[in-house]
Amino acid sequence: MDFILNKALPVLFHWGGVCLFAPFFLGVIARVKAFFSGKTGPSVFQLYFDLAKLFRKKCVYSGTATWIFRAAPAVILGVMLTLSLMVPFGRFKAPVQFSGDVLLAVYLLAVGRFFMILAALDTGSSFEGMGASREAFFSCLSELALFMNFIVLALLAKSISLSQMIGANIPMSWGGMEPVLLLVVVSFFIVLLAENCRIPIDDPETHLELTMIHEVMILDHSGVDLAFMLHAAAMKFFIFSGILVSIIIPVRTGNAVMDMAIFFGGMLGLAVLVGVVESTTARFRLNRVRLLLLISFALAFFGLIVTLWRA
Amino acid sequence: MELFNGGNISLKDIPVLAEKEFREEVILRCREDARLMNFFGCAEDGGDVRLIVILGLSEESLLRVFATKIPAGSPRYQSLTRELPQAQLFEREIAEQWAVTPEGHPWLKPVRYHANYRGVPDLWKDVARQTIPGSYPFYAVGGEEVHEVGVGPVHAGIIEPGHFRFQCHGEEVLHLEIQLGYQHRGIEPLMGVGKDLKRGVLLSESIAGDTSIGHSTAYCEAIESLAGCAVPLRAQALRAVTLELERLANHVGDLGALGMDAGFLPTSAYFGRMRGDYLNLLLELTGNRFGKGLCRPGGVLFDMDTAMAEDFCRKLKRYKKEFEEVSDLFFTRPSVLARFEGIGILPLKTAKDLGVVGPVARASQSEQDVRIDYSSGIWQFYHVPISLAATGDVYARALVRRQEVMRSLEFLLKLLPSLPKGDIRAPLGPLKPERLAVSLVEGWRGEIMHVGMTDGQGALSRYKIKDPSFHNWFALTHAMRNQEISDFPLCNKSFNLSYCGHDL
Amino acid sequence: MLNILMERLKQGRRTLSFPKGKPPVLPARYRGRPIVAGLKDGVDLGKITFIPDSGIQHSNDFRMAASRREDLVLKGDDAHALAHALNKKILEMFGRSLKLRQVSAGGCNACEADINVLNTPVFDLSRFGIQFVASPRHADGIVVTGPISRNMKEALLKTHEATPDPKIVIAVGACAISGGIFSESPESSKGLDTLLPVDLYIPGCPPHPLTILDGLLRLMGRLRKE
Repeated sequence: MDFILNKALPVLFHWGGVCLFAPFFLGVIARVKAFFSGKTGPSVFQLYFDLAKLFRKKCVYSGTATWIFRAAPAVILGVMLTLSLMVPFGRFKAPVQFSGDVLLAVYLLAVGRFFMILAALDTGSSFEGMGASREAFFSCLSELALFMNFIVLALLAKSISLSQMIGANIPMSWGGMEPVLLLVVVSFFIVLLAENCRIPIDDPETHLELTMIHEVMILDHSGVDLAFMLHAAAMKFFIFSGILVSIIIPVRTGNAVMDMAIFFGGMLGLAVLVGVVESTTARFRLNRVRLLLLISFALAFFGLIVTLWRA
Repeated sequence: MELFNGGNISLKDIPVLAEKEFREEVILRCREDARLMNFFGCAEDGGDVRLIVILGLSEESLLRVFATKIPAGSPRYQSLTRELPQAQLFEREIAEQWAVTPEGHPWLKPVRYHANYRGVPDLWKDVARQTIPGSYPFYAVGGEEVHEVGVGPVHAGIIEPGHFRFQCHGEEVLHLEIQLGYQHRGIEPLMGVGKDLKRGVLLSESIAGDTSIGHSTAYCEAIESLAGCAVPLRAQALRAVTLELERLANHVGDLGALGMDAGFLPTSAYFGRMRGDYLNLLLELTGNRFGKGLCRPGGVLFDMDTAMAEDFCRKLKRYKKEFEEVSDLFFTRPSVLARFEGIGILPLKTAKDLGVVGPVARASQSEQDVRIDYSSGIWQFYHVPISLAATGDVYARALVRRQEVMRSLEFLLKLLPSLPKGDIRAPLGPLKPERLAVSLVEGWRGEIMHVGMTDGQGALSRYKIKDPSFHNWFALTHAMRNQEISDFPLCNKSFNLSYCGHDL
Repeated sequence: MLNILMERLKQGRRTLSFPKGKPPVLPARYRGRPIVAGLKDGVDLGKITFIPDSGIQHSNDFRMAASRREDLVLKGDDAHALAHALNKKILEMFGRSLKLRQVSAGGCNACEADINVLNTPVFDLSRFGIQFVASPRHADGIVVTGPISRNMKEALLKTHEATPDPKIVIAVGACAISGGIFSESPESSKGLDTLLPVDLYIPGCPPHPLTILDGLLRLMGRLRKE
């Protein structure tokens, strides 16, 4: 009984919350983009309808695909679900917390990415291969920036547990270390755009095979596999946004409902911001993307220097 | 033998030269100032093939026609391509249509994948039966780190089919080869035989749906020339109005598509909507968004009264203001400029060597415009200044489009209040026998040329269609050399060539 | 950034209210559904190319899509069986989310252009949950334009195979329905239904975007049957 209340229920709440709310925020981004184009746009719940339909469709597999291609969607979904357990959302503490869990989180992301790249190569299609190689290259840079951000946060919190880094100690840090946190916020925002396939790094709705990075890797999936991939992408955005919102708005009013409302308000605001950024910039050429990611790293690195100097 | 745009000559008057003389004449003239505008074959008695060449002399606005004869027993001749690269696709087309070998051609590959017209064995085994790309000999670059990427025929977007084979080293394109022919519908044989002119004009409207007015005007002018029919000036003016509306719709649409391909969404939506405005004007005038059903041999089917002309003027003034605002927003955006400048450069020399036409040529500073060089009809009275750009990159091609939109709008605002009065259609008599007529139109992609030939009974015996894309596809492969593969969609869109116009 | 917002506010939202409210009225010269009352022979919507000088009178009605090939042949009275919704089971699945893959099989590009236009703000297909996707594996159906030239036949069939079940097939334009003006050419087919089972026929040359939109919405059961 004790186990159910203290261990199982929080896990289920966390999973339930992430699974349920993740597709909503991608719908918000699509709606904002449609507004800027002068359209009404799809419903904010469109991704839910899409997923419901995909679960009932058959899967089509190419003759050359091996077990890797069939396993990849499940692996990626599993990674996202596990990752969601380590990230606190607003007032809900992360069910899984231990010292060093941030390393596990980053490596889990890497495992997901690894399988995605392998699955893309498995199809034998040349431009999926191109997309895979671009993804591998850009992730080298974005992981660098991500790590640097986490190092700064770890130094500020004096702990290497994700929940401590972005949960408990942030309010204090805003008190004295605002410049560093600002740098981290901007740098992390760029990483968020990169990891979630957003303009200016990648266009999620482009119809040009030769320019795709993330989209090309899901091109061959269908039915339930595709549903897994899309849902995992939505959850990835939710997790990254959740981390960023926890850094920007570390409010603890004490009232549970108030806290949740503020957290969701922040997530909504971030989704709208991403939509606005996507609508007002063109997509960068691939060699500029390199520069952008390096800038993100540089900002975080500068933050690190300031932290060390102040300490 | 010389003629003007829209003129016709007797078949007997076309000088037939011996092969060596023919070759020298073409190469010499093109080295001076002429341009190879058409080079095609037609059937002669006994299985022989007559090859006809039409050279364009833009300074004098003249077209020079002469021919040579290829005997059935020895269907080959010395290729012109090594000395004159602009002949390359014409010779491949002749090889495919007539099974005549251009000896020494460095790039002899099929064009549209169909059986030849003479009924003899084709030059390439099974060319009409295999599924393309099949065993098309793509030019391959050797090396362990070089990889090949093939895209198409079914592309990710809503676009016509074509196959693109890239030889890449990492992200850099070493060589691009484009292989088309997927949309070959066999229009030339359908059009070129018999007396059914009505079907001919319907076919001409569907050569390329977005160039309905361009091709149907060219067809009508060729037929009218063969019949000696004098088209009323009002009809010619209405044809010009719709031709410019077609140009406006497509250029504005292109700017929108360029924005979308660069990932800049707002202006692409606005330009897309503005394109719809021009198409709606065509819908009001002709009942069809693409102008299908307007041009018929002898004139046009729909007239425009003063009320409609005034309404159009009011709308066009509004559209002009809107266009200026949105395009200012677009062309000053740094992230857009970063994607456009220095990409896909087509140098002037390459453009001239390959015989490139249209806005693509003008963006590389090659001054060509049928409305100015070979003006006929209403274009003899109204002058639209040529739009040029210097750098030959994607930005230059976008800029030329913008200038052409502004100039077309100005032209329409001048012409509409003062349309010439009169009928809109003249009766068409029978076609004169044994004649060849040429018509040139500046479609929005460039120079459209139709050539019609009649037999002894006054029926069409050969009809040759040339869409501007016929010249320009090869230039795209050159513009992509040493560019990044992810810039290909932008380059392709900046050229915006017709797949079905090429494939016929 | 600010001038983008300003431009957006100036451009406003231009989406048509269709299908809500009164259907939009097209210009007088638009050639819509033919008027067959009084004509001895019927009119086959799948074959005609809607030209002004065919001897057929056209009304201003843009609603012409049909679910069966027979329904496109208009005879005697003006009754016209417009497209009906897909069967219940499939409608349950696709009612709110229909992803389509467009295949251009030798068309002149006019039909493709008018399909493309459905994604622009005026028609805005995305508000109905309909979207054109990049891969047939992601699609619920294929939309075919063009007379299916000999060189495109195999690519078309492969694309259809790659689309997961259950799937639908839509033929847009006179060429896709019957071969159109190219039907006599040996290089083109005599219609999509000679190769694949078709669920929706949208006649026209090219069909006005409203005709295509009307057809798609009827297929999804979004418009009341009349």
